[in-house]
Amino acid sequence: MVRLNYYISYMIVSIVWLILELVLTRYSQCSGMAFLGIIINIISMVIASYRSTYSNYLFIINMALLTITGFLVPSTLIVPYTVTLMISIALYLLLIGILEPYSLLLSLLIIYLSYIMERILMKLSVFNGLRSLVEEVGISAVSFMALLTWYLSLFIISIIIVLLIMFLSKKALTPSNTY
Amino acid sequence: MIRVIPSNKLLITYLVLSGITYIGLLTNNLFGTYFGLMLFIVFTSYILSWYLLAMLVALYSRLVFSQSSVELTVDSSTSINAIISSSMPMRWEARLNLIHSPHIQSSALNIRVNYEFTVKLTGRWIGSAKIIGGIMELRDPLGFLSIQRLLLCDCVDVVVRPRQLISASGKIGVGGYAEHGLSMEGRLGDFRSLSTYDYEKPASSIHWLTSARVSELMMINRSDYGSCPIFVVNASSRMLIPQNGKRPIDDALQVISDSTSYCGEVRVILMRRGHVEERVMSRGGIPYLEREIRINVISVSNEDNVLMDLPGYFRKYLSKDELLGIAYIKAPMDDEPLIEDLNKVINAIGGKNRIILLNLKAGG
Repeated sequence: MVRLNYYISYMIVSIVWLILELVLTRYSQCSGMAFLGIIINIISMVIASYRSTYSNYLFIINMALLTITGFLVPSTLIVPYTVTLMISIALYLLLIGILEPYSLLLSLLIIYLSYIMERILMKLSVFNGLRSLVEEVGISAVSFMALLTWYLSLFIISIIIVLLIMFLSKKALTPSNTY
Repeated sequence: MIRVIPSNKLLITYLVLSGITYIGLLTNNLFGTYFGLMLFIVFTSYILSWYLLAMLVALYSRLVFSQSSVELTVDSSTSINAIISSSMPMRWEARLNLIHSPHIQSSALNIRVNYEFTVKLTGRWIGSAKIIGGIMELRDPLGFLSIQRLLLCDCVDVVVRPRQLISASGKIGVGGYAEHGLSMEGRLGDFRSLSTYDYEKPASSIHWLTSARVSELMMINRSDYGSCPIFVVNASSRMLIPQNGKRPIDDALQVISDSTSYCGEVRVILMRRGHVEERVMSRGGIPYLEREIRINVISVSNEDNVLMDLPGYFRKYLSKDELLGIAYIKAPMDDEPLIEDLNKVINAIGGKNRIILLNLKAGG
């Protein structure tokens, strides 16, 4: 994986953000935050051009602002907005070499496996019972169930990985195999 | 043999992610919930993947050196090649700390797995040391987790020798003839007188310069004993404690080494309280003499008084013999030889010999 310098990586991501913020200006409920985001983004780009070492801090400031803006985004835009933010974070970290590409590839497989597990868990009757309970409390049942099933599926996968490592450690570290 | 060290950053990151999610959930905001959840999924799966891969790299790695023994002198350096080869075809960056006794110095190395690297070793103290392995540390680039793996090997025997005298290294020193003369004295006995050559004596005793001057064969009479002294060395724990980076025993061993360059072999008497031992030492044996003194002191010392350049977590994986190779004494014990013992030793040696006392205090 080619590692780009901080300046180029930051510029690529900030252009993605700029487009995202320009799209948001069309919606009245978040146009104010979007304009503020654009101004801060442009100032950050200027600062990063002079002092590329500050790009990590600028990234955090802009990311925090975009997260706050996200709470005001209309419901039709929520999924593309969230996905774009996620991709921009992963892309920046990957380009500056903080994310390890092999691990990132393997994590895609883990996400896929946990997605399958989440679908299975959703179909369990226990969760249907839980859904009706949550609805009575007043919390959004869809969000709560999505959270619970994803947490649980990732938890199960992490347990499997830890058990696999324990098994391999025992196998590899027996006296005949130690170096 | 593997240790996983999570960082506080990991906890803080999870708190932030959960915070975003729960704010979204409690305010019934879909963005907060989904964004927090998505970050949680990507972040957790990434950490799990890195953990799995790093553990596989660490588990199936071994440390291999290009040579099994190295010799160097005090304050000199040498380089050897090594590699951490792993069955996993990763070329991850790692940090390696070699495990050895403090006789040699080696800095922590930033290496790549499955890539050859060079280790620079600097001789600090005289003695025989061993590199018994290393601790490889794989650190997640985000700084959330680090995995330490103890890599043991029958690695490198390192012998740190005393400095050589200028004459011994083949160069003509300032002393020139005087040094040569001293070496003759050392080997053949001290000069006593000149006399007419006795034809029963070896021709090597003829002093040709005088013979030419008086036109008669003259020979040198020598005493039975040479100038090679007998060394009485303090072998107590105090000798092993460094002061400003230097140990008293190194000076003593250097003096013995210097005399072996013209005497060949010297008699060395090691003294500790209640323990006297005589050795005949050649130059090559000096580093091993230090090792013997050190191990004798360590084996009678308290466990709390032993220092090791190895984290306590990994000590249980090493045998006692392996630990003894890297162990070092922390503080002096009450084993300074007594003056009575010293007098007995001097009386036993006899008055005819030249005795050199090394690091023995008059009142000790």
